[in-house]
Amino acid sequence: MLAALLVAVPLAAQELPPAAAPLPRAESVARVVMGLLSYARWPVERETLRLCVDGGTRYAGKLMEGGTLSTGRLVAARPVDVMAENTAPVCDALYLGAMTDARRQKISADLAGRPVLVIAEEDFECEAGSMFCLNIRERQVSFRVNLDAVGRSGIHVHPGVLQLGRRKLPAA
Amino acid sequence: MSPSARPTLYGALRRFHLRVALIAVFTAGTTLTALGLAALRAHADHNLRLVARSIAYTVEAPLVFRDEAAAEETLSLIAAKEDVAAVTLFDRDHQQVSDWRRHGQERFPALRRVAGELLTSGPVDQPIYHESHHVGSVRVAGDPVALLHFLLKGILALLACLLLTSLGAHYLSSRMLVHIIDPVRNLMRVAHAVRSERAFGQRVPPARIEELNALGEDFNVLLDELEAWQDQLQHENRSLAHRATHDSLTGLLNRAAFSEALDQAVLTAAARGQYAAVLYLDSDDFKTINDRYGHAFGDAVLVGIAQRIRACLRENDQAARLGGDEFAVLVGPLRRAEEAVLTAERILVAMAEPILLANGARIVAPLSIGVAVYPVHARGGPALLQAADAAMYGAKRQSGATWRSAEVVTPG
Repeated sequence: MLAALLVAVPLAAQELPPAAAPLPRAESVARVVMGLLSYARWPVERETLRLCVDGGTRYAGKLMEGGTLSTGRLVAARPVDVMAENTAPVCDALYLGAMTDARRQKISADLAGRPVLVIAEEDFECEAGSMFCLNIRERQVSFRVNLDAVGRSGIHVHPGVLQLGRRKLPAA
Repeated sequence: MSPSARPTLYGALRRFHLRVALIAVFTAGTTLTALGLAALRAHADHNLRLVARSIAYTVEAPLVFRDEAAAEETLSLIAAKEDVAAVTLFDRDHQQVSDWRRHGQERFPALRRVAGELLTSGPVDQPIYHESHHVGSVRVAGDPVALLHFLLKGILALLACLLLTSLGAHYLSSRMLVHIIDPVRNLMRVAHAVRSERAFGQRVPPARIEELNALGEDFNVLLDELEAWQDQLQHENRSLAHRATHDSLTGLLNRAAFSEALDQAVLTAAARGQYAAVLYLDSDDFKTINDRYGHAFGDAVLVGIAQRIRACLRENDQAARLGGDEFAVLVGPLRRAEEAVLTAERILVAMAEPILLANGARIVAPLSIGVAVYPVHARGGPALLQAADAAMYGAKRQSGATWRSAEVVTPG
């Protein structure tokens, strides 16, 4: 199969179609989040990954559909309200919208030391609670990493991703 | 063939040495360069695959997240440090995501292409997997500059080695050839001297190389034999010449040689206006001695007579045994005719003493002498001898043990 790929790739590469149009933001966000999930390893793995999406998000439309990771794992998404319930026992990953101090405190209290991968949609500093903070721009969605949070959570994240998240973002 | 068209031994050997050395170095050099190039090429290919794999691992996450900036940064970070000319990153659908090219690739594009085709086995395609899912591929093209440098250095080193080798071969063969050429030249010189000057005394000096030394020694032995042979030949020639002109018993001149000497003396005397005289001597009673004591005894007496006669001669006078008991003396150029008579009288006095023989016997062997003087008695050698002969008979008839002058030739 590898040989077939090696042959197939150069053949295909020679007839490059024009660069694809940028994806809609929701799709870009879904793709990045799914990518992050595929690079994460939980201390206790479940067959289906439980992705919780907070109410105040703007680009979670596509994410709510759930899907399959490149590893083959299923992702089941469900909406949650972080202020109303303790998400730690029911979520493997949590996608958050805009942050406020109150939400931060609640999340820190609920999730401190629990293996929940927290991804924030809008948290530029990426200091309180969130492990990955998205940076959504016109053409590309990138992210930052809060290494302390990742380390505390007990979730193992592939170093390549951490490396990617530690990069200084190019001036917008 | 003209002499200049013939190569010398030195030149031929030196050219041969040089050619062998150059061929050896060239063969070794090209083989090593080719082997080195092949090894380096395999190494470069391997390295290229390694770089491609390393890039594939590193850009996996950026590709999954479609972070083009990160991908590009990673590409340039890795590729810039390796012998890589270009790296292109494709996503799952073979769309180009990122592309990196080394600066300075614009120079000599044709040369680079040719070198790339000859020295590398083309760009390497490495698929990128994320959790065994194909997420894209990276294509890495090697930079043939390093190989070109190696090739160039190899060729330069080869040329330098060729130059160095030719110098070394020249020096060493010159040193070695001295040991070959010098003995050969010595041999030539000696052979030439022997042939043209008959210089048999020359010898070939010893050589360092065994075969040449043996050749030289054999040649010397041959020369020794030649020299001995030549000496013997000369000795025999002298001996033969002596025997041809001398009487074997007494060592005096024989008749033929005496006739020649007489003719010569007559010519000299004629040229100088001087006298020359011939004494004809004959033993008075040799026949009796011979009959009484035997031939061996007679021979001994003859030898004794010859010694007496020779003792009485001056430096320029010559004595001969004409045959039997007949002797003759040529008295060299004389200023006065009477001097010949003095010689005859000296001989007569000497002969009055008895001859002491080996067996202790004492024999008195008186002589009768006839004297003929040029130009008084005759003007030619044979005539002079004849006149002296006749005068000797006169002396013998008179009493024996005396001398008598020839008759004066009356002119007309």
